[in-house]
Amino acid sequence: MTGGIEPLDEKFRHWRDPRFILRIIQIVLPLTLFGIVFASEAQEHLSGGLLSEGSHFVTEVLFFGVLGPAFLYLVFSYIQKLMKEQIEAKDKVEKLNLDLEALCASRTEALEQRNVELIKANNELKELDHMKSDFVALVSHELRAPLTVLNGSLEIAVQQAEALPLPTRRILEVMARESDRLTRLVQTILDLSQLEAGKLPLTLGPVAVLPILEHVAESVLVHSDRPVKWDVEKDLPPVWADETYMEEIVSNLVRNADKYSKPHRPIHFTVRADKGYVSISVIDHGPGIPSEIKDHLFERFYRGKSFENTTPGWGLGLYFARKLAEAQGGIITLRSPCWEDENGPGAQFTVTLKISEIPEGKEEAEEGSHGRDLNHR
Amino acid sequence: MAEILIIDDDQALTQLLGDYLVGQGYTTRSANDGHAGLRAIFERKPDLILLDINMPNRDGIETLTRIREVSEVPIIMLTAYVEENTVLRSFSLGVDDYVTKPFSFAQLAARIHAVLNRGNKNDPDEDELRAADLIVHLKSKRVLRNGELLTLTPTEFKLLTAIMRRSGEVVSVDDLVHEVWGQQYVGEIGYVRRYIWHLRQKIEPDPDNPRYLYNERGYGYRVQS
Repeated sequence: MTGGIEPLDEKFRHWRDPRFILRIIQIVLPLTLFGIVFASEAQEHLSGGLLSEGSHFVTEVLFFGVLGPAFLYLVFSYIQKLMKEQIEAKDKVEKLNLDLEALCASRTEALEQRNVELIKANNELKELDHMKSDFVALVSHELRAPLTVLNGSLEIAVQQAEALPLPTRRILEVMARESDRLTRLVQTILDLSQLEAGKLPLTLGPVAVLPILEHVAESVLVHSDRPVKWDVEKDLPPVWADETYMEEIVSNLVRNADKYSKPHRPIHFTVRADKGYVSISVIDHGPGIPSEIKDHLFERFYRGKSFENTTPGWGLGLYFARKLAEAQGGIITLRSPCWEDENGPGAQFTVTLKISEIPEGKEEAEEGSHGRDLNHR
Repeated sequence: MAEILIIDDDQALTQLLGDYLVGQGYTTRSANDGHAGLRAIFERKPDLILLDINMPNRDGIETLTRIREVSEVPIIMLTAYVEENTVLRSFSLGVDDYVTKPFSFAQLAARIHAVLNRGNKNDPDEDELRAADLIVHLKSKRVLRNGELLTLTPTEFKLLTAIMRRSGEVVSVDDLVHEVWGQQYVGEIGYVRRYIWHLRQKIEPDPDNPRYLYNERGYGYRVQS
């Protein structure tokens, strides 16, 4: 029913096309001009009785009524040609645009698809990492119970060791030492799994650097006659750190320095405060760190090939130290060689931590209302 | 002679620890799960309980809750769980100390001794310092304010106890350095004010208007008891 009735808009659609209107004008205007010229020439000749001059009439009609409109027709043809070219160019650009949009849409769709896949893969990795952390935590928990029994038995046995023959006593001491090592490893693994999951509780506060360093040097090098050289800046401010874990970081660095240095060569401690940070360096006279392994040294389970068969270790110490330093807002850096000595170029590990400050304005308020420290420097 | 009840499903540990504590002059009993532990508490009324968390038939936290409904007996948690929320939850439920596995038997014995002494009303001050509702347990290194466990660094703990031990007196900065870091650091450790400022942030409900820790201008610090 509706198919038979053409809407009014549709009927006059051509009239909105400039080319159609131009075509109409191209035909109508010359014809009109011809009509006007013909009519005016005819009237002129008839009213003047100039029929005898019929040849003039034909000439004038041809000249004004035919050549003029023909010229107009040609001009309009040219305009139409230009317009046609312009419209074709415009259509071409529109088509290109459409192609481009289609291409963009398909690429966007592909990208979105990739994004979805990446998010999925990322979630799977996170899930795996979470499972790994849970697994590590579970294993560490499970290891703690037998370790308690093992350590407790050894503790009691060592207390009564004087009654035992010397070889048995030595065996007990080795067992106690190795059990301690195993306990430390389990603790490190558990701490690491918590650290990586962002769950390691840190008790942050101001920490005086020198007493910690002296305590570490004393306890790590207790059975060693290795000299220690100090170069510590005066008036060191406290750093903002977790005391226990800061000590763990420095102990790690000193244990390494001791492990890889030849006997009797010193370990140097250098401490500097600069621009809101304190840098604590532990420098040894060991074999140095080859440049090709420097970048990997702080990675988990990484052990330099040259050390794999010569020195015991798990490749966790420096990774743990780096993660701990980062968790406390600090960093660990490495420099090697440090000395012009082919036999012991050495390595310098520097842990840099923030200075513990009082927020601006608070210090004055405290001084004004409650007094000041006696030896504040 | 004090009787200690060990509630832990690790039989090797309960036997070894039991023997060790007997050697230290205590009598011991053991239970392998929460149910058996609760039964033993009603039957024997022990003087102190060592309680594991991860156990079958009612875990340690549930057992602890049940015990605290009926008894104030001192409890030391003995567990592999080191996560802060578990520690805090245990303290909020009323444990007296929290020891993580693996532990040194000698250290555990010292903590048992401290907790038992704390329960002895004739000698309340041996292990405890108080300033109003701020309580410091010296052996377990815990600080509680109005029952809430506060987290201090070891230095902050030493600083607080150094001032609280001399309650009512003004403690000079040199004395504080001497007690906290050692004689060799007197004149070496500066910035004591920064330690005190951060300590106040942790112990004072309103650090700008201290309730416990006062600075006596030109002399040092004192605790308001």
